Amino acid sequence: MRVRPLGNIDRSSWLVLVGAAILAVVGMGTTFVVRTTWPAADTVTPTGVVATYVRAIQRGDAAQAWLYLAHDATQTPPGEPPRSVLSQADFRNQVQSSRQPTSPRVRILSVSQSGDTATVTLEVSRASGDPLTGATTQQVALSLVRVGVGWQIASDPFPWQFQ
Amino acid sequence: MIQRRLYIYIVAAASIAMVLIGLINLGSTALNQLLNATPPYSNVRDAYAGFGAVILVGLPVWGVHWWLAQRFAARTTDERASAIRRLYLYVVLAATGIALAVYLRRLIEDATGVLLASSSDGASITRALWAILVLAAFWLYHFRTGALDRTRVGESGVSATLRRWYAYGLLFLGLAFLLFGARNLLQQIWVLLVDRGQVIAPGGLVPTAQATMLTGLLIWGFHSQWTARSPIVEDDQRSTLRAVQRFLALTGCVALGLFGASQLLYYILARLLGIEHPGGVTTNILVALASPVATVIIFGLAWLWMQRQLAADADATEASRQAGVRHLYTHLVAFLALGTLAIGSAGLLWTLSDQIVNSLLAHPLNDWRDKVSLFVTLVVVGAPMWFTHWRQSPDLAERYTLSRRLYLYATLLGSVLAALISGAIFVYRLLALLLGTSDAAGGAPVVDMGRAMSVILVAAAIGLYHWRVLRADSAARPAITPIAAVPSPVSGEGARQIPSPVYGGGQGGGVVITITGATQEQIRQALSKLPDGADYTIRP
Repeated sequence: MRVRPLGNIDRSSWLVLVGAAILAVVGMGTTFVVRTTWPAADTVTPTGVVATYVRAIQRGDAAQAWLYLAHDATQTPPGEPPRSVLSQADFRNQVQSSRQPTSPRVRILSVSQSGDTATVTLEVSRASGDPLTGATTQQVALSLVRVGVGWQIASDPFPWQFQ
Repeated sequence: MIQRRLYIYIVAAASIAMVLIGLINLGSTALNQLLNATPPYSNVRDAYAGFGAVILVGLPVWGVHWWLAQRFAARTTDERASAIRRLYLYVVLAATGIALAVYLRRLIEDATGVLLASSSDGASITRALWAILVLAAFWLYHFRTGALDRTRVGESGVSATLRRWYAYGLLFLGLAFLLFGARNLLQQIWVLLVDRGQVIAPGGLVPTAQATMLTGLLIWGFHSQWTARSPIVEDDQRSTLRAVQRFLALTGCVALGLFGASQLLYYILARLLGIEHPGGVTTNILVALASPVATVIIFGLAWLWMQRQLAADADATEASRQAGVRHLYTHLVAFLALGTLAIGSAGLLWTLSDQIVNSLLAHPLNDWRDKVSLFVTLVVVGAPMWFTHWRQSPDLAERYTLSRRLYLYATLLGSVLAALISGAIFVYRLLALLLGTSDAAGGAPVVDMGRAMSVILVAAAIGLYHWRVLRADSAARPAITPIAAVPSPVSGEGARQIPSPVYGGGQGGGVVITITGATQEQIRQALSKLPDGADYTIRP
């Protein structure tokens, strides 16, 4: 039997086809526009540092992401126990080994700043099979400390969370 | 003969599965090596040995058995038309079709991800492409074989049913992919548009949703067109499976449409009542609205579309079937709407009871507004849907339909079960209160009794109302008018003359029939298959 893909398609099927095509184009266009109109990365605000760090992780650029981490355990924010010092090689291994085929969407939920420390809460959403939401979301809080005129991430950097 | 067929096709199915698994994995391993990608297997040589062995064993076994199957099919039409052969063909088509959909989705997802810079896994694209090539080749070959068989010997009975299971199963799967993909894509677009400033990485959610939608479109589009062509469309017009698939899809669309509308109204109402985070939503309310808005748009449109498809299907059949489809749709929506209304009413009473009892016990609750918003929303969505679809006293044609009876009995069953369970909880907590269990002092049993009573009240109200409707339906059933004079069969030559039917006043009209050549016992046995409520009189 010969099945011609576009022969004798009824009107409702055409509407479905056109609707899906419009959605696909708008989806790609919106993502493209959002990506190309990002403000230039800055390292003088907590959100700028976190955004640059997350994008570097998603690109797999461990070397650039490393630049935004506070490597000195003494810089751990007050109230948090000192964490073990992570070497650059360990960090690179973490970034490379936990790469996923599809990266999650990351949104800033809140930013709080107090003197030389700041906390940026992020929402990380991944595609899931949940029919009611289509995605699973979780919150990740990154603590930052002021270093000179800029900021660095002082808490656990969670590279695998953003990949 | 059957044993031989079973043997040939079971071995062919098992060996083709081996061949496909071997080919896909062997090709993927080779591509990983060529592209220097991270291999999924730690030892590449082991992978080559294992998958190579699977192909080396599976391919000749499948080749020999399939050759035998084709040889026997060429000899006799019985062999070609056998249901076992069709079972093999449609199982292979379904398995390869589903696997094809999985790899196609991955290919589109990765390719779109590369375009949008959210993915850079080129090896994954190549692996998916290889798997698609292998699966598509086998799928096309079996599809063509099935088409040739249909052309040569036709397809009816069990064989046609097997084809419908395959076609409508894949159609349903494709439709689910299409609708959920579209809903997720619309949701992601909405989030990117309304919260652009806060999104620091759009990630791969758009490519994933897009891939799901486009894969669904391909599967649904192909099978929809295939089943809409002659001679399949004529053959399937009255098929139960086709109707079941459409009604299942409609049920899903109605349920999700109602769910989305409820969630949307709930967020709006909660915000109007001054609740900052309705339902625990911590994000911007415009972002939270993305999911319900996308659900309402996509599944609301799909609801209308399914309804039109069912109507179009019914138009192609006789009037009684058209009416049956219309009634089934109406009662299905009424049932879902009643469920929404019942949950909303019971929830509202439950919340009010919680509030009153806890206030009396001197520990008032603070989150009542959020719950009230939710349950009022369910009532607001469910009540108009139920009132517009449910008719207490319809005309005779609708009153005694199977769908109305199913609706009434399912509602009664649900009400009775809910009342029964809540009644048991009520008594259990009452006894706990009377016997002074450990939590009785804090008043917990009274709170639980109030909750159980809320459910009992709603279940009893719904149950009683529908029980009265059932009784009214039975009372309104027209009685069979006794027939005064029944023409007696004429003996001799005249016995062959069949008297003209005399119509009585019963439902559907009473009919006088004359039966010769059968005993009274045989006639009574035959008439015992009449529907419930039908009455008859036998006069010798």
